[in-house]
Amino acid sequence: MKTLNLTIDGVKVEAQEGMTVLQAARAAGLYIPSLCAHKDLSPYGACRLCVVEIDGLRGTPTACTTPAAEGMNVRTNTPGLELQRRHTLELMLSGHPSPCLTCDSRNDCESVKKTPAKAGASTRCSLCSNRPTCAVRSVAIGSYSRDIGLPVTYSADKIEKSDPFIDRDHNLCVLCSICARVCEKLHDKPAISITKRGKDAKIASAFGKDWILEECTFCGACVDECPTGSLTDRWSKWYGAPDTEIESYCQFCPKRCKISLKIKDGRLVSTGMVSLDKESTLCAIGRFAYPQVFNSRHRLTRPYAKIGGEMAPASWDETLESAAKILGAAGGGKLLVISGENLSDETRSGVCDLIKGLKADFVEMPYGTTAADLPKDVADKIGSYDAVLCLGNYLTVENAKKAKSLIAADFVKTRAQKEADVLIPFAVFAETGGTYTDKNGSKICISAAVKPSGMQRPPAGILADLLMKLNLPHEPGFKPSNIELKGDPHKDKKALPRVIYGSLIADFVPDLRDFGQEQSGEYAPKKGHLIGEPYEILENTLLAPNFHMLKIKAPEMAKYAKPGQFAILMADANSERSPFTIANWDAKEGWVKFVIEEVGRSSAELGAKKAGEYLATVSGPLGTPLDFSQFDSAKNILLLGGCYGIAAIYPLAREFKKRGKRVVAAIEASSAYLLYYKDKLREVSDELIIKTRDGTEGTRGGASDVYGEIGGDFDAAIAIGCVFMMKQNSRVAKKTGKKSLCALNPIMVDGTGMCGACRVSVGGETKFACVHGPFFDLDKVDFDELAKRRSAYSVLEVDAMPRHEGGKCHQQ
Amino acid sequence: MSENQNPERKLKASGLPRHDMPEQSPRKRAANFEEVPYGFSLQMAMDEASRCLQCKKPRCMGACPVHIKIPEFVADIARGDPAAAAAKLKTQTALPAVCGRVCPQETQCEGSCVLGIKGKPVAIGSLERFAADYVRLNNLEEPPQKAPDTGKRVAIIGCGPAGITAASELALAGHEVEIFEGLHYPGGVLMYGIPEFRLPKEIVTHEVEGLKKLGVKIHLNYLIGQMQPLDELLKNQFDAVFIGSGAGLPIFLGIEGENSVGVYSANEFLTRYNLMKAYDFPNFATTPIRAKHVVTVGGGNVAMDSSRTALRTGAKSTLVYRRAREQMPARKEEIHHAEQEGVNLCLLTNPKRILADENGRVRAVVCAKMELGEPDESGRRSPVEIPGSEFEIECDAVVIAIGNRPNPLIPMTTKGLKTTKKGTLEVDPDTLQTSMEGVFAGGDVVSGAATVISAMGQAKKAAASINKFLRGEPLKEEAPAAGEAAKPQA
Repeated sequence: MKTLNLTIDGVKVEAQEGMTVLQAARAAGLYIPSLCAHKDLSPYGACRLCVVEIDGLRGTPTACTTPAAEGMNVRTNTPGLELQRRHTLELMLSGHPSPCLTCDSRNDCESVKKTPAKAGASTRCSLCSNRPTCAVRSVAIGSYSRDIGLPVTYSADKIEKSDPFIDRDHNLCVLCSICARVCEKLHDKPAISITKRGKDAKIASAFGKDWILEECTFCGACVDECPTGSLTDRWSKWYGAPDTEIESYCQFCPKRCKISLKIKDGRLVSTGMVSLDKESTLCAIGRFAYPQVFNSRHRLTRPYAKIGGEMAPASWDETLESAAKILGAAGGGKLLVISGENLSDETRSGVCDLIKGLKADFVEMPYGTTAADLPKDVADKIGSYDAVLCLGNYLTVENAKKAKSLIAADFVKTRAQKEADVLIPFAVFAETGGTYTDKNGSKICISAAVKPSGMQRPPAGILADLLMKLNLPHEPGFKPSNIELKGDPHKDKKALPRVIYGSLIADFVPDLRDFGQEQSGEYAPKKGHLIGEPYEILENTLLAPNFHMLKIKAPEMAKYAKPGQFAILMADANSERSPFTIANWDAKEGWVKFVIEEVGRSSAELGAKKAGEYLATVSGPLGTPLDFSQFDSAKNILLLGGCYGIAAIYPLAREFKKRGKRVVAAIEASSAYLLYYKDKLREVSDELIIKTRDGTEGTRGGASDVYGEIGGDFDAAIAIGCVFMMKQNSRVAKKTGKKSLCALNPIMVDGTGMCGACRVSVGGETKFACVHGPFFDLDKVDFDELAKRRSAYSVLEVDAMPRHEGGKCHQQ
Repeated sequence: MSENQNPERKLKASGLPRHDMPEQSPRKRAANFEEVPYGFSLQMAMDEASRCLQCKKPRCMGACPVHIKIPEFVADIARGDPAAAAAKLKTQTALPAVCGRVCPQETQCEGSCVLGIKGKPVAIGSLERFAADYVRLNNLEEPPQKAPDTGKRVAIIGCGPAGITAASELALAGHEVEIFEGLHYPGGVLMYGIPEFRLPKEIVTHEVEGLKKLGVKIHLNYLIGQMQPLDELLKNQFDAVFIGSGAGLPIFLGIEGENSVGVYSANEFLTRYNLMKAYDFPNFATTPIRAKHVVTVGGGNVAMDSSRTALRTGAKSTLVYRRAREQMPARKEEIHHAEQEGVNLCLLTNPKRILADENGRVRAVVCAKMELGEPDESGRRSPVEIPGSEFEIECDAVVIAIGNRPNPLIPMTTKGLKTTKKGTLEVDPDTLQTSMEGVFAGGDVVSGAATVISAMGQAKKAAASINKFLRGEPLKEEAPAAGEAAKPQA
């Protein structure tokens, strides 16, 4: 291959023939911004960020589509190019929710909000699961443009959640078309295409069919390669970027594809292809089911044995001792061993030694079989054995009951285990190392990559210990069995694996129902039940993306509500109790209104409720109402609101107005499309000041800028919003020396003073926000402590997302 | 009861060994939330009941805060008629299935049993529990007889042990009773505080259903004071009010680092697991506390409940208490159960401060070793710090279980309701009437954090006063029924 010599920005660079200018620059470690170029895909030239000037070439060609040539002189960062690039970027960002990218307070804000809020819609970076790895973000921050000169739009397209695994948020798409190109590269019948033109252009399934009915095989490559938060893995997206990736082999089916395990804090959070080529594609199970199976809360995590006639948690030694005793007593044809073909060679050879040594009867269940498939003649004879050893979920409750003595080993809890005398938890897949041999004799070896759950141990080790306890020889060497793959799961969703160690995969991945996979009902979740009457929802209006106005029938609350109070809401009997400020109420008509911002499970559940449906709990009014008498001497009141606080200041403004004060309401949002309640606030204030972080409405900045802008023309202020917003306001308020309050909304359980979860430090003293608050002196609150206490459950909050239990998340 | 008063039988019975309820082995129960004892079989219950000497002057009755006629119901069981026993119990206590489980019998009925002088007392608690469980599980409960309608209305604030008892007494007396409960589920501390393994929640639910069958109306999510103020209740056609709002304001240690992430009040810790069922997370959305090592501070029953709950979440559990074992206010049985299950008791140890990591999460508790000094006013020898004995206990969660003060919501929102320095309501010790006429109170809101049964005893007494009040009789005409005054308890 010929070596070419180029000059890029005055630097002499060598390139191989066939490289593009962009590749040549990157190979030399030179940065040219780009979004649509992908190392494994052919040049495309969609984003136009990699424009360069090349001597002898007209205009500004894109580096990604221009082949490098001998003697080329390339310039990548002339003022003209910078301007052109900025215009391109602005055009892109005007359609991509990006106020955080141009916000002056971004770093400050993100130091408080260490992880993005788990919102329904990603309306900006701080609500976007892709924040840690977003390419648009890094390009935009790299070529920092403070202003977007174009009108910013948020099309508020509904997030597509029609399939079991992928969230498709078209609002974030920059039309780089990497997904479609990846799909085309990997599949003979690609499923993704770009429909329509211009501003209506959109990534879609071919012919707009349902993704499930589509050619789409759910290999997930589009999700993995999407440079924005547009395509995300619904289950794992909020865990953030993995810290470790380990190559392994999938063991859901005999095909045993290579797979990359993505691990964060020792926990498997996702899987992916080992390289972007046809041979490495994964099926839907390989790509999306792993973490749900590995992290299932139904895992059997500790060994049990009958000690003193009662099944109880036991040490490994006690457990194996009990098992050995049962096995030893059942030698000579009095023992039945049932296991599965999908165990490692080491495990299967251990099983062979055991059956040889004890002269046991043996059934090896083929791939894809469950307890229901146990041959009838075997099932009928179970009662005739002294003991049964079962590795995997191969006994129905009925069959398990027949066993005189049962040693059950499994990776999850099953109903049949109730009948067991010894219960052995084993680790699976990449939690244990092992060798696997296929029918052609070719071997694969995998190493342990993820820590097993609880006290689980690899099955091969367990068997080796049992053999030792029984004084039986353990001989290496093992004859592979005749495992065959039926159908191709990569092409046919019906051929997807359905079973793992005798258990149905859909039991752990409920959304596989959409692929026609059945559940056993083994793990049907328990519903909470309530004794009292539920509360009817009269209206649910989306005020702005993620912001729901819920109007609820609650006559008693409406009768007694006062400005500044909050209530505890629960969507269902299984929900959390979460506090929300009462935004409005009408004693005569008997309703109360709340503005609910979706940031996690509880708020998502509330937001998803429709008019005519019911909430399980509406408890309030709670908290000490604002004491208006403290403002008797004040004439001018400044009310500042951000996020939910925009609604929270509304009843305060109305009351101040009623009391004859001059009210200035200042509201802030990241961008114009996140503002709401403007007209309502105008009705109850003398002046409404609008601040947006990207300057798309009102003036650019945050509410805290207003103190200065109105020149100290106020006597008292109240700020309500997120912790960051209030913290920012407190810094400014301190300087003004005027009376300033805030209303806090920390984590609460009961909201009546009983639990103390809501304690906050105010002026060095511990206060309960629910009974002493919610109002406190703005400059005395320890906001850093509050931020830490609010994020106490950041990881568990991800686990709590409704996708895990009921299947599909029902946000928006 | 004549068949039981055969002197020969008496002699024989008293010599029989006491039957204890079979229970889950410690290692089994430490890993589940199921109830510890399995309960008596009918035969066991009959055998145990026949040990009762049927004393002419039963000391057990006098020691019972609600004066249950113990020998009578025990005799019914001995005869093999638990339904009759349960019917008798129900006329004297609203919550036999609860009391049989959570009462400190060893200091009350069983502590006074004559058999206990030389041998072991009759297992009165287990028998009470058996009778109540038997009729519940076999659907043999008979609706209690209600007095004719009086046309009077009583409002009850709080649906905990005190509120339920008062409501039941007053409904049986023929009044129209409405309960106002702040949480989304009735039961108060029986629901949010006492764990499932000591008191299955289905029992509480069942008792509450029974209350509803008596015609008692329960308003949930209704906080008197925050919603309708107390004085309005009296204006709005209620003729009397009973406050049983409990002690629901946790006390913290006031030490450095106490606001770190991972420091919980026992109320929060227990509420998450009991009322909100965090052990079934994420099916139930309330987040559990996933710690490797939980340190519980305190020596009372709530501290025992917390440390045993911590164990059941899979954590290592250590209990830190500043005095010695003899001074622990918890029931002996609870301490015994906790130790059996594997709670590590760290006595004569006082937490000094809590250390957090860079993210504000608990990483250790610094404690000092204590020794017992001179007795204080309460008669307990007060602990004194041993100089230079500070040491760290590494942990990732701390549960503070050193007591509760009465919830301030009602006094805060009610003018004319007098409180003591401790935040409890001021009441007449004989009538349990508060500083407001027609407003009575009982339970922890009067006595400070105490036991379920003492709350029930007070509620019963207050209900008697309310009956008099509603009949227009003077409240103090005669001496109080059994002289059990509302002494504040530590």
